[in-house]
Amino acid sequence: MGDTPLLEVTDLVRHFPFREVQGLRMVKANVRAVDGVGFTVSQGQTLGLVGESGCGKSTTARLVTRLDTPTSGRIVFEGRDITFLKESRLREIRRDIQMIFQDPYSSLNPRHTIGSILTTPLKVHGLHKGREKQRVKELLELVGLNPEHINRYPSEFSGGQRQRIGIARALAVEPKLIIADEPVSALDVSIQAQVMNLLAKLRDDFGLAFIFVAHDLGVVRHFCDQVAVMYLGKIVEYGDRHGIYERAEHPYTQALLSAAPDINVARGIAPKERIRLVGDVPSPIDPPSGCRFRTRCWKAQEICATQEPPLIASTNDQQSTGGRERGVHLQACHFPEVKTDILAEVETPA
Amino acid sequence: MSAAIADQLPDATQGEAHHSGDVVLDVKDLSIAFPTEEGVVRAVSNLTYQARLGRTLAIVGESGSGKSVSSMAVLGLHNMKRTRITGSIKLDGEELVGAPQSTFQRIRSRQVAMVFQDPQSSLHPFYKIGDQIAEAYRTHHRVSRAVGRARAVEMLDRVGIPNPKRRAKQYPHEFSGGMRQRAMIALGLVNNPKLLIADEPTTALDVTVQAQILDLINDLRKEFGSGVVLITHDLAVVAETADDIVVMYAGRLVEKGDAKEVLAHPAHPYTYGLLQSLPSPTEEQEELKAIKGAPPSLLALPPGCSFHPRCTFKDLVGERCWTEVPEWRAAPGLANRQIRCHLEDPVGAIAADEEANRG
Amino acid sequence: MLTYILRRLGLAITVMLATLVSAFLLFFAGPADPAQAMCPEQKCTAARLAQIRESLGLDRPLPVQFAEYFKGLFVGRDIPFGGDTIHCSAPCLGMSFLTNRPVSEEIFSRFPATVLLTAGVVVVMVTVGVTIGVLASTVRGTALDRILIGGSQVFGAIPYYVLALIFALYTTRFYSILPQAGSISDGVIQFLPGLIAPWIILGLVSATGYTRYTRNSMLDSLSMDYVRTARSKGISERKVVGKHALRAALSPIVTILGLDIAALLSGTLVTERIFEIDGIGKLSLDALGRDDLPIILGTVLVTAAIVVTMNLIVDIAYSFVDPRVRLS
Repeated sequence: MGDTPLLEVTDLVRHFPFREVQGLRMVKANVRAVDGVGFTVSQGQTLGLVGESGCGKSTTARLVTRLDTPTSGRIVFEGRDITFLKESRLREIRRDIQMIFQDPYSSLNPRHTIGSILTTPLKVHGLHKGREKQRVKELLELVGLNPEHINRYPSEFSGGQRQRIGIARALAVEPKLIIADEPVSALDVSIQAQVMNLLAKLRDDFGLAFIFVAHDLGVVRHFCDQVAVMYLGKIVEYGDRHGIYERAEHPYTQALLSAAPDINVARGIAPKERIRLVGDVPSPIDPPSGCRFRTRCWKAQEICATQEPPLIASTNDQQSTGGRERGVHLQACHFPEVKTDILAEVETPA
Repeated sequence: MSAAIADQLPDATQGEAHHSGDVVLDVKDLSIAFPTEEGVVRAVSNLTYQARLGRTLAIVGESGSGKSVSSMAVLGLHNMKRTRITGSIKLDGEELVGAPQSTFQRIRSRQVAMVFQDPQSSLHPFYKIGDQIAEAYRTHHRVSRAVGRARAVEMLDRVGIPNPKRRAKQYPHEFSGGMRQRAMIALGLVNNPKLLIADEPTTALDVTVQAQILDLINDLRKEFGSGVVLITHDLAVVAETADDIVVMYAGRLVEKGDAKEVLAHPAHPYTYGLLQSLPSPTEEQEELKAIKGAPPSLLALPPGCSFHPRCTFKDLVGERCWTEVPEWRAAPGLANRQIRCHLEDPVGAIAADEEANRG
Repeated sequence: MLTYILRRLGLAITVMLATLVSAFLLFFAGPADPAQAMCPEQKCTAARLAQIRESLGLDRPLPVQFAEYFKGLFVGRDIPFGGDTIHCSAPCLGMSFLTNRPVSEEIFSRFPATVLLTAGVVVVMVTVGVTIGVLASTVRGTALDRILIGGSQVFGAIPYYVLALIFALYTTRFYSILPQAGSISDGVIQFLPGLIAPWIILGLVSATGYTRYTRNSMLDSLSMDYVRTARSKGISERKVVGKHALRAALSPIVTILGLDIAALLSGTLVTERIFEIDGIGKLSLDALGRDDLPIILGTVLVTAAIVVTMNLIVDIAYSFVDPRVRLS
């Protein structure tokens, strides 16, 4: 980990204002998609953003790539404030921050050959002048595609191959940070593993940093060093992989982990006692007062409605688990508690 | 609800008693092909399976494996002008392959209902939820509008939708994703069918909602005693909810057996490969053990075993893998297990591979 | 909802004002000289022309003329006309230079004919267009589908005035199969038979667009998941198509229909000319030929009002058709 982090995000807020008619009045309101999010990513590090739909994880990703502009907050990339960088100057950061999208079908222009799809970013940034074609072939090889297919169109490739093209496009400009928004969730199970392996290899070979947005907890656990769990526009728990998956303290993280079905049940391990969350995620237009999770939380007390729990260092996560160095572990609950029964289930070997 | 209407409403669980364990769906040697301009798409080839009352059968496979196509045929939802279906589908003893539309209209919803993947697009955006459910009921029961509506409210209540009376008068866009899927299930069960086919019912939902919906399907299966066919690509979902499993690859069945046993000790290289490719919840892995390559085009299936181009065990067999389609047979050394693979000792071969990976 | 309508009304008024100003400038500051047009055989002396202009009030500065016109719209005004002064009551659109009658009177006397024409055409066009479109969508890809769609394309591609003229000649002149148009002043009942011929031909030609539009819209909705859900309930195929699929397919058609009705109400130049129906279309065509600026301006304003109103009606109607549309 370097001295200054590659990316530093503080108090990031994105509200989508809209107007609504209520009776005879026009009411102005905000969808508070991201409501005060902060994290850092160092070179070569991988941060996973997890949470359910509407928690703001994809909006956060779009803000960091500056495909969208925050309402307030600060995004600092390599010591430079890019929060409100003008459209005309965004090109400068586009080279360093690249994005991989969920849908390999709609993110590639069907009328362009993959050769031209991959040459465009090189030309835009004036890279490898005069030997663009050579470079494109190298890129194709790098992501495991046949370099001779340079003149083919996206429709001639399978879903997994198209996602590889998307990855090659992101890599073309030799970025430092890649934002991957659900990069494998549209792919078949057998293909997901291939693409995950490719991403891991590239991360290790080029020292790439990743922000990895996904709803699949297993994939995040496999790929990410750090994990931020989001709920209704806020981070409710943050920590390294072990902290989150083995010693989760926030009830929402615990519920999320316990809800994921477990293949180990087939191997004779008793199914987890599932924390059944009642109801739906409340509207981000008018989130609950105090702790946003309190309406679905079994621990909720009076204080939860009146006082918003800050994201602070966990106090319970102190016992040793065998000499492994502890990273930062933050949580935002008034009544944090490691739930050992989940822990036991996850760590029982097959 | 007025007393008069309540009197006309049957108890939701009444009707012919469903005898747990009886075969409700018997599919034999089913093949489905779609002739297209580019050639014949062989979506399903020689599929054989049975679903039983009171049990959940999981049909597992990736996109293009034929898992959805085969189930749509049970409800006769394919355009018969552009589909060639051979073999046999017997629902509660009645042959459905070649049956006229009138037969399907009679059995749909009454005998077999389907819950689709995306509850957002599966409910009509212009009609009230209650009316959509009532329509299914009134199609098969000669009752008044009011009775139909009361039945819809009752079903919404049963699937755990709070305030069902008010909710019945709302439109789908006023429901959340999980609530919509609950409404779809209410719609599916309104006529107390013997078989419920759930096609990726939780894929479009969040994980906490997925857990709720799977629990609901399980509870209702027990309560109503119907059979459930669960179509999914998610092996962890199968592990937690299914009794029996069939695994499909490129339109063919490759493995069949008890769900937990198959997932714990797969006997077909494809099933094994799928399980291996999942990120392990217990150990740190440098690399996932991916199945190499991609599923074949259904327009041009590879000769012999469809899986052979991706199979790591084919060297143990040799030529037969790409010249001869393996027969559907009992897996050696395993009870209640069938596979389609040439391996002489699949269990031993897979165990050896696992051992090699560990070491 | 009410707020929404009020806001839309505000917008509509703005659009109307903008139309009024630009149309006024375009016509009255433009090169057309009504005084010339009013001279017998165009041979007036400069002095005579100036006299005519003065009598029409055309010699005054443009802003004054506009202010007068604007006032007339709301409270009526007195118009100097050839020495006399005629009172023109609100909504006053001025006086026709040629007939010496208030423009509003000229326009509103033509309106019933155009409305009756439009009503019949809409009925024919929607019934025929939607029916054939739905039929074609259910037999998609068959010979019948190709015949229906190909036929409607060919029919729609022939220039309308040629079709209408031939139809008019054959049905009402050479063989008197259908009655010729009469005057609406004879009474509505006597007038209606004369509309049958234009109803049929304009209705059928306009239906071709609806046929193709309905077919495409139906193909979209037939492939929707909710149609599959409807089918899986066990309801009859007729109900699947006619209720579930059609309901969704019709909602985009409402938009087009609203604009088409607006266009028809603004007068159909060719139809009214060929079938000699004394409607808005014929009125504006005649006015154009004679530089009768007040009539032209009046028809433009009325047309704009109709279009704006129909747009508003469409938007409101849409929220009834599609419950997802919230008027906000």
